[in-house]
Amino acid sequence: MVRVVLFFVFILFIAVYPLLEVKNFKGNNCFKKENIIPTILRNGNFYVYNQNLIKEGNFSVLNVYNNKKLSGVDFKLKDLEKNFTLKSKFVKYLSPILKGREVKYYTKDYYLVAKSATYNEKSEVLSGKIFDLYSDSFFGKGKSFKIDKLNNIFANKIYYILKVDK
Amino acid sequence: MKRLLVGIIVSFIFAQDLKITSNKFFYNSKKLYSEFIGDVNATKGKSNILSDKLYVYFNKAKKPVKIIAIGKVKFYFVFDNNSTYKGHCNKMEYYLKNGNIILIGDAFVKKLETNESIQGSYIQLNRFTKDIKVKGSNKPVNIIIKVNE
Repeated sequence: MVRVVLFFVFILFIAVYPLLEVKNFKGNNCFKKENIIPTILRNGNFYVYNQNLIKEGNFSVLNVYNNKKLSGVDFKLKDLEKNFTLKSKFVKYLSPILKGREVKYYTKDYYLVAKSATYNEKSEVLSGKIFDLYSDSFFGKGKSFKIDKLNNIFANKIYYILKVDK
Repeated sequence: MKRLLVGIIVSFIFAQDLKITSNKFFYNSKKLYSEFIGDVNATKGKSNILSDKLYVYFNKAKKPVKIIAIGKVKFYFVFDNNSTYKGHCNKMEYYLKNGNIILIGDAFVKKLETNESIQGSYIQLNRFTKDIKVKGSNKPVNIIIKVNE
């Protein structure tokens, strides 16, 4: 009787074994989420800004992992920029908002300088507080600003000097 | 300190240029105009415009061509030593090239040197020639001219 039971158990094991094997196979080769590299930055350029927001970095390749670890080639960021850059990258990865200090924004018509600004990659809006605005025909200073994706400026409490012919 | 110094230098360079302050500002980079909203104060030398809104229009070369002030417009213009004008209107259009200043809606201008004044719904004043054209609508045009007796 025992032999018969053992025989059936053996047959059952043979039938079920491939299923267990497949499961294990899948499990062994599954990538862990935290090891996936979501972002690879090259040459220290903020190319996502379309070169409007300029910051310097000295890495040729920088990998940003999900677990917030960095690995890179020639990874030498300027000390002053380091916090900004790393923070920005993480913020960029986690949300569409990038934060920057000493921001310069260039367009064909004007350029704007702000002590700090945030850039929303989704809405393509750059906003910030105290700023200076320079153009061929005017100069301005204000308490806060917003620039939309069409380069229109919305600002508060502005002091504006316009060049006019006498 | 650096910014203050830059500000002073820029102010000096633009000394005779138009200075505008307002609560809100909008610049349209496609249509090339600047819009100022709320407590607008525009000053050039001794001349001054106060209004609720003010627009500065630029040409393709990015030079200002027209200034429009709207809402509770008060002005004080000093064209030369003998031509000082003070007044108010609902809307003002100032064409920089030909010097035409058009005052629309409940317009009033007074020449301070002579105490002569004009009131109408449409007054056109020229900065260079000092010519004045007046139109009335429902109300008659009021012109007060000082006559030596």
